[in-house]
Amino acid sequence: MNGQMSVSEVMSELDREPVGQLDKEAHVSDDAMLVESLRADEPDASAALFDRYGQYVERLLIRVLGPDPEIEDLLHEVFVEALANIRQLRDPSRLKGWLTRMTVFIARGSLRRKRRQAWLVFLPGDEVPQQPSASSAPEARDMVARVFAVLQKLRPNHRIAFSLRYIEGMTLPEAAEASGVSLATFKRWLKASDHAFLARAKRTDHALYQELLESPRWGAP
Amino acid sequence: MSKRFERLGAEVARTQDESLDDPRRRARVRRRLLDPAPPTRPPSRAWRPALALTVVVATAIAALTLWPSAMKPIAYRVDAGEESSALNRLIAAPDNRPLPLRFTDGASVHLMPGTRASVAELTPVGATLQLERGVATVSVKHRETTRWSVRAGPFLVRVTGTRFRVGWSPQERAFDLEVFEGEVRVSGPDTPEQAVGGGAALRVVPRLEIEADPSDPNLAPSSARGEREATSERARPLDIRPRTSGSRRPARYLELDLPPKKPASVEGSVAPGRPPEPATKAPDAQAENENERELETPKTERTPEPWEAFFARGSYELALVELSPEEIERALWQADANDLMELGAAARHVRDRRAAYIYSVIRSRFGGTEAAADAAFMLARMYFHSGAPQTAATWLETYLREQPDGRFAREAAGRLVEARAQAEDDTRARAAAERYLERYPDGPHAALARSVLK
Repeated sequence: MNGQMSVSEVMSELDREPVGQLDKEAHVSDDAMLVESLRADEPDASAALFDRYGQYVERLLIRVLGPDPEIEDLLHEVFVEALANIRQLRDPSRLKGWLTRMTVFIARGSLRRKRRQAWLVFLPGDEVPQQPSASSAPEARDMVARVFAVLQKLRPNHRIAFSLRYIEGMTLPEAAEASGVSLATFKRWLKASDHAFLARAKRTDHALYQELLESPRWGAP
Repeated sequence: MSKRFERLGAEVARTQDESLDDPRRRARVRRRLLDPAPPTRPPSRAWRPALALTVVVATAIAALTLWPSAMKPIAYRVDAGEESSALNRLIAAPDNRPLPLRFTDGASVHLMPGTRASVAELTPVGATLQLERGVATVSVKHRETTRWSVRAGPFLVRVTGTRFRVGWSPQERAFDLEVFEGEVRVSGPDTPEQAVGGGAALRVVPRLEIEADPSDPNLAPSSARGEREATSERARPLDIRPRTSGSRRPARYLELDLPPKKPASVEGSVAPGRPPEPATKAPDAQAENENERELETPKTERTPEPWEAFFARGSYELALVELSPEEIERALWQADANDLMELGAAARHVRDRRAAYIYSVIRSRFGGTEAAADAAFMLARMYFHSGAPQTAATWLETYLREQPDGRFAREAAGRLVEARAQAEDDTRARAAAERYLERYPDGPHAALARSVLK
């Protein structure tokens, strides 16, 4: 099979699993040990959990919520919940998947909360502008802002489906598991998100809509 | 259409990843998570006046209604047992597992297997634990009013908020303390109270001082310790030391560095001028003179560098965030190769731009070692992933030259094929592919190498 792979495909595969199967198994075993340490309230176990998965959880939150001033609080919340409920994790080797579901669950709660409060438009928002990354180009940042401006109007579940599948790049089964729904339900959400995104972009950001449909940048029409 | 969404999403992800370069947010959350103070969420600005008023009123009501209960002493649970306020009741951990004690102020104590302790005092702001023998790991939540202490033999450890491990062996009269976070204050016999900070360890063990028998021709001073007749015993002074990388990973249970027990011929002896101990005490303890113990300032007069505490805890990512550039620079030129490799890995993990510099320093300081070669391999990976395959290939060749049979040799050889191919350097890609197949015909890059040779 590798014989037919292009160089870029092989490199992509290596990037996904650069450490090989043995290390992957070791990682799973490490997770199980980490869970045992957490359950035993061993010193440094909480720090070890955060050090291992802090960046991953932060990335997932950013994928789903975009540039959001609440990311820091939500990141904290995920780990507080994880530490409080670690004894409920049945299979310690599935720690990462469990954290992923918890992250998506908390992100969904945040989206729903914002949606419920959306009618309070007369109140000043408490959002502060996200510190722009010094290294990303202005047009790239603008693209992100426009995409999330459209996503903001989608239903939370549809937005999550879009983010996990297209932005985080999860496979359909991975994304379904992370969302805590069946594969069929997730596919339904994703299809709905595709339509909703295009419809919303057409109404509110026609330039993005046109670009998405016509620009060769996003592939052949 | 989904392909277009995927490409759009990938571009969004690339831009978002830039914000992950900044580890400060994670560092703040990490501090909040590990800081026992309860998290608070900033209120919405629009509600701030009303919220402030509500908080004031609620606080006043709570203060009035809860004041009496706030003055109640804290209580504790042993393992999953009932809440208790019993004092001086012996609590013994079984021999096969630690025994947790959880206090209502949020503090916790884990008695290691075989440890015996009791709760000597409970107050509204803390407790006193009496460690009879064994090892206890203590975690106390920091508050302004916290007053916690642990008594271990003649030693007293005062705590305001920290995590530490304390050990006491009454037979050997050995006291051991390792502070993970925060600071404690320790006092011992004839010793003023002194602070021991996070990352430091402290140990007191008795040591036999041997006076050689001049009539014994075989007696050599170096072999005399504990093997020959002893005429006096003195306690070794307190040894307060920051943990070095060699001792960074502590054993699960404390290993007290104790000398051999006294030979039977001197078991009954006592230090001159000291009354005999009560008969109920162990012979070892009888011969010991606590008054001769003394606290000692650190053996080395050098003040530990700030980076040492971070490295000792293995908190490399945090070190990158918390330490000033000057402190990092000193670490780079003082720490050992293992620590610097860990620091480099942490920098790569959080995408700190100093990662390449760290590996360069390793190569500069430890040239010719395996660490230097490993640093070359890491540099190669960094350049490879940042889209500089030619530079990556140069570093890979450096690694293979320095460690042709090293632990990364196979991967380096494979990545060299990739890098040359990606740089469209066909001649050298083919050469690398041939070398790879010659050495690793079934290796993970074999398919790629064959495709290059087609």
